Amino acid sequence: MSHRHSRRVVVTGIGVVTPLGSTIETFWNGLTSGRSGISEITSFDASNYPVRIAAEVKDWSLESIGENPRQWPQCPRQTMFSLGAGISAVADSGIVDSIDNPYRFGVYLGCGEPFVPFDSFAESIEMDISPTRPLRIYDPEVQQQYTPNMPALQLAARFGARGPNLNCIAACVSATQAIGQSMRMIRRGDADVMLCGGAHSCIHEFGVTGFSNLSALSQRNDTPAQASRPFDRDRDGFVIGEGAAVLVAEEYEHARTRGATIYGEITGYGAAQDAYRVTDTHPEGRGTIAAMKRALSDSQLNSDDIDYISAHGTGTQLNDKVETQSLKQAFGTHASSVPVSSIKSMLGHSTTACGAIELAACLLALQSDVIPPTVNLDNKDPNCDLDYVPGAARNHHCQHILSNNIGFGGQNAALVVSNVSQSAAETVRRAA
Amino acid sequence: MNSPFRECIVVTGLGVVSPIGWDLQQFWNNLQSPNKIQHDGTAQFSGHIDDFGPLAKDTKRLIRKSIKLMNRETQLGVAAAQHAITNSGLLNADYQPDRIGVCFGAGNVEIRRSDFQAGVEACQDLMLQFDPALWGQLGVPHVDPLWILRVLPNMPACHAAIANDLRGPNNTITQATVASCMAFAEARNAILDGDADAMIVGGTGTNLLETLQSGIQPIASPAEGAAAFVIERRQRAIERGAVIYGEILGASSATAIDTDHRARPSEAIAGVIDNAICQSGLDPILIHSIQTNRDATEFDAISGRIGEPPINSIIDRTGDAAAGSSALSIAATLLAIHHGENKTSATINIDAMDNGLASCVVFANSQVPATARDAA
Repeated sequence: MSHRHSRRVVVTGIGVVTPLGSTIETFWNGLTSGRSGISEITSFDASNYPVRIAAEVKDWSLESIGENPRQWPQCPRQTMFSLGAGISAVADSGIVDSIDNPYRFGVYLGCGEPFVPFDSFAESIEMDISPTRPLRIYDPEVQQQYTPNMPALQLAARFGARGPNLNCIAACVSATQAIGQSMRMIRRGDADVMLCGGAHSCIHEFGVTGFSNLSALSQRNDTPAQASRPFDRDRDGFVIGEGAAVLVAEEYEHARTRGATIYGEITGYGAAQDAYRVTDTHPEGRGTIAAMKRALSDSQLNSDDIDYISAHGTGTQLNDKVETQSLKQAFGTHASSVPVSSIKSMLGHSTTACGAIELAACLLALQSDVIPPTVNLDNKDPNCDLDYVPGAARNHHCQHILSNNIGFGGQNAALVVSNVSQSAAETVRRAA
Repeated sequence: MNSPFRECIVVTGLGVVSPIGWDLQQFWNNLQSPNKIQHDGTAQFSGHIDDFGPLAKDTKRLIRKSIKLMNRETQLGVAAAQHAITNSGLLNADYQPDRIGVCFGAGNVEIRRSDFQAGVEACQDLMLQFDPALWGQLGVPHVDPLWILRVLPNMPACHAAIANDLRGPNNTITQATVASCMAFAEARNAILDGDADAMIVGGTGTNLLETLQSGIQPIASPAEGAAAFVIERRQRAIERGAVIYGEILGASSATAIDTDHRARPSEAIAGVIDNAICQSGLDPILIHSIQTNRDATEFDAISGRIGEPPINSIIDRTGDAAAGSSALSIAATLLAIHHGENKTSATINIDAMDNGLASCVVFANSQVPATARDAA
């Protein structure tokens, strides 16, 4: 059964805050020139930690997007990042003047848990004799900021979005699912415009403690720019990143009527559970395969139609091996010819936000006919034998791109984006 | 959109873990009894494998192995899911594992100080003060390697999927009190969109925290609790002879917060009701009752639109268990329909928060016409 979805969903605005830059230009130039955003941790004193490197957002503040920081006292980094990305995306899309019904304008983000300041947390343990007694050290105004749904609510307040307002946490596929669900809401008719994406920062005493104890992180403290090595034989774990990406997803006719610039169409979404273990991905990647197949089926495309795959590619031994196997299962013989890359090699792993940042890169690849590389892929691993676009960006025309993500807990999700001029009868070009 | 031929999605399984009972009958009786049951807010849940109800051998093995990886909210949520699955007979219903998904509502998972106590004590200087410069070297090794996997809010949905081999879509909405209704909407849409044939929906939460949730309005009766549901297509439920607790007519959410961050909860409530009525084709006059966590005065603004149904809350009975409370409210609504309390019409579950978020689910007794479509 093949029928076109009667309501199509396009992306008309992109905003990013990343370790490589917080404008579309700096972000994309950084990625396509193979720059690494990874260096020694500066946001807290990590000098005695087993892991001392991360991909931090540097030289960025709310002031750089015209915000008064005094309006946002002590708000967690992910809230600042999502505001930054959201404000840029909305400005990029020009949507603000075209909202005719605010109840059909929503927000769906995949922001993670903001961590409370570690020093005062530790202090609270010392002060209190019994660890079960309630704490009163946090300012209630500040404490309220430390809930994962605050970024979505702040964006709604900022832009008067009175429609659905959600945040999901599905580990490293959170933003992927937020974008997929937003697309479905518009397709179904529950909304016309959605701000969707995600933000997170695990570059924090809690995040580095938790992930290094899981033995998930690269320990290449002395060579940070070479530490994230997806698909390389000598990869030894992921590098924590941070940042945000927010997309303006809009119903196609709504976008066309207002003459909006269209980056691409979100044509497919699929999610699946491994139902295996919370600690490890399924050894044959059954959930990953299912999610990618579902996204392809939702987009009504064949696996051969996909011109580029943005891999989850964390740089852990297990992920990259299983993801490679899964790509072979889902794409068959096409897997050996389609280019695959992991921008985590440059940006690190921004946990719940990674799916949004990676989809932003896919949309820019659609627009520019360039695909970003996997850097640090110096030594081939026999278990990882696909075309990973090693070392340098490549000129490559893409009509359809699949972005894949895999998360703790057995979560898997994939998205497909398509060039609108190719996927539609009508030709809509980016405004010159 | 708004198709009159939309498939009907019904609830065929319920599970509750609450301070006033785990057994559906006991929970219902305690909600109905003239005297409030006194409790301390805890769900009297020990975390022992027996608390998860009667289990298949494989499921029992998987849960027993995982209990130590689950924090309290996860244990409560997984237990509620197991009770709902057992109640519905879902695993004997011949669904493919790929076609059953899970969607949970949850709040923030607080970091327990007890997980960090030993590490902090190991980093004391000569004056017995915590020295953060020592943490990386001396504190980190004292933290359980799997600690971070216990504080991820998606764990109830993931453990429930693993224990029952449910490989469909899996998501967790972290919108505190309004999350459970949102999870209902997303799960129902997963079936309507063709992504799944059945979904487990749940909500779990606690206000019995080490850290205060918010000092602005202290929580009057803090509690913990969870509820979960099995939903599937009505046709399929009838074919397999499942008990139908109620039909989901509509589900929606709305936000009302101004640019100066002033929240308008009653406008958000009006927004969700309008959306739900529009989406479900429900005749507003047929709304028989409203189940909510909010004060009845906030519904004044909508009185002209939906008649004057009674406004009920179970919070004074169960205590306030954050995202768990709204799931327990939904369970109460469905039990009321099931016990014939709502013979003639529909009930709407509405949750709202002081920050301007609101969500709702509209349920109907599938035996009784509640929409213009059915009445015609």
